[in-house]
Amino acid sequence: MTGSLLIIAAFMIIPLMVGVLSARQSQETSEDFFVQGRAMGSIAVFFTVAATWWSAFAFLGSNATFYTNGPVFLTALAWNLLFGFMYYWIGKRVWYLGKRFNYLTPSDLIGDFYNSEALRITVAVITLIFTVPYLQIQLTGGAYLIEVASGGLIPFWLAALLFYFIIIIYVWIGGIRAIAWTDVIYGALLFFGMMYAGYYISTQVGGPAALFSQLQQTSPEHLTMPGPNGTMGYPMWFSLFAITAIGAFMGPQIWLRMYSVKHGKLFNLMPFLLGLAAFAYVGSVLSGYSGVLLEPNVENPDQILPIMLMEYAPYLLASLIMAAGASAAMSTANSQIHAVSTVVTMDIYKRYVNREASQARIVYIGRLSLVGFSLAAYIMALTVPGVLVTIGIAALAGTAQLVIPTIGAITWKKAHPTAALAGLWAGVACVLLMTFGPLSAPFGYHAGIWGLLLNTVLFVGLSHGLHRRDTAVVERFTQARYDYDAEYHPERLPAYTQETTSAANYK
Amino acid sequence: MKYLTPLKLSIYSVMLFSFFMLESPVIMLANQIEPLLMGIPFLLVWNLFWWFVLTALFLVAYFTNWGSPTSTPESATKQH
Repeated sequence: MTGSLLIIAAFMIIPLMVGVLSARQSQETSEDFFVQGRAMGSIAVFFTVAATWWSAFAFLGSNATFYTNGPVFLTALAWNLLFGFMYYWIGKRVWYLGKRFNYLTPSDLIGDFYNSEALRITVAVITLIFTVPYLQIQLTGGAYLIEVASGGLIPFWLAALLFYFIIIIYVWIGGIRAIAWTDVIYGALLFFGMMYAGYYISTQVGGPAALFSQLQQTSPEHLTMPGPNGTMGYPMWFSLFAITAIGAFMGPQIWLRMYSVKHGKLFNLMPFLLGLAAFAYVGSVLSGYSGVLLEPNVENPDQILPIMLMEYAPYLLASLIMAAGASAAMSTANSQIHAVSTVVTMDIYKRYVNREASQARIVYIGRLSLVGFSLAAYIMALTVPGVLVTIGIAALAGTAQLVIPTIGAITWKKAHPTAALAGLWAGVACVLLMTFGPLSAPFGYHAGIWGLLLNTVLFVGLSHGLHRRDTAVVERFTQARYDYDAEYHPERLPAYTQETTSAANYK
Repeated sequence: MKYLTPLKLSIYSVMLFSFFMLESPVIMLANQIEPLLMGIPFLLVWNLFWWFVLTALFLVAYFTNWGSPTSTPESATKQH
């Protein structure tokens, strides 16, 4: 018991020290606090994107889903690849525009391109409202692990409180630089933990081949869709793939990790690195399925992994792996708290409360927002119950709606603000009504898929029917896109001469 | 299509095909336990195979600049 408490203490203290050390390089400017002066290097970018993207949803939710619903979570292999591809294809363009026009938040880019205050506010509200529940599940997942790893000595409420206390300290002093540095530790622990936990637990039933063979005899429905409960068929397979990847990618914490990158070339490599890392899900396959054989009657499936570790692994190893799981939660939570504080500070305080705020004042407000949002998530974790994956998907379905106006902003000069606004409102309303309201999502597809469909139809249809009069803004972005293609995709340049009726526009 | 290099077209075609094999209803054809390969259920093997194809493709894409030629100073200075 003492050993595991020491591991938990180290897990809390080491990132704190790393965060404090990283803060020595900080400057008291908003650009440094929020996007590290747009100078984040390749190792930090990979680890902070991967560790932010992989959360309690991945570490605990994946095991729980294999355990209760069969193989539907295998679609995670594809959604990681989609996430990686979007980071290259959308992320690199967002990064370029962010650098050129000095953006810090999602609202900055979308509000600027569509030249619309209503859209700017809508985007800020969507990012805030839908990020908090996702933040809540990180806290819940991490606190479960600490509670179990300490043998109940650290109760859930205290574990969650400790979690947020640590995060607030190092984000307060170091901003995104502290997060990126700690995420290198968290990321390494997380991938090691997932892989090794799966391998170790499967050896308790004779190894992976024996595991599948026994499962085929005792519970074959766990090995094919729609799973043992009959609810996780193809519609959910596709829904999880699209909503998880797009929703997480559009979260404000990932936007900041697009703006922070130093060199454009790094975006070219990220799809490969993020795709490769997805192999860690094989660990979840093994541990989730081993749970079906070893512990078939666990009441809360989100706790299947910690319960098995405590039962079948040496105590210290179990604690270490659970610390890895808590890393998954912590590395996402720290980034989310930092990101929502950025949105509050830049999109609300700086824009509508105090336009003349000094750099020091902006950073101070950012820090106060950290505390406020942490508190909200903490209260929600204690008072709003729910299964991690269910809450997570509902939250991701909301942020996923942002992808439509974003793609419009980076690729399409006809994209119209009214169309973007109508699409977003309809998409979000659809998600809310089908998740919490009287409507049910048709044909088994998740509400988020229907929201995206409605959003797309309205956006494309209305943009075709309406005409933008703010030609200066449209031309500014067309020029930026031209310059982007000139630098990274010169084969596309002839397309610009096709688009215009006057060749005189080109030198 | 008109402004794609042959290499870029190939990369994007293989990518779309691989995603189609993983995420279209075609996946339901692979939704079976047998044949087991090295003791691993077929659905898992199918997913791992296409995951490997896409991951390898992304590495090739990185080394080939995603099929785009590197920019020339002339094109980079043009203005709209």
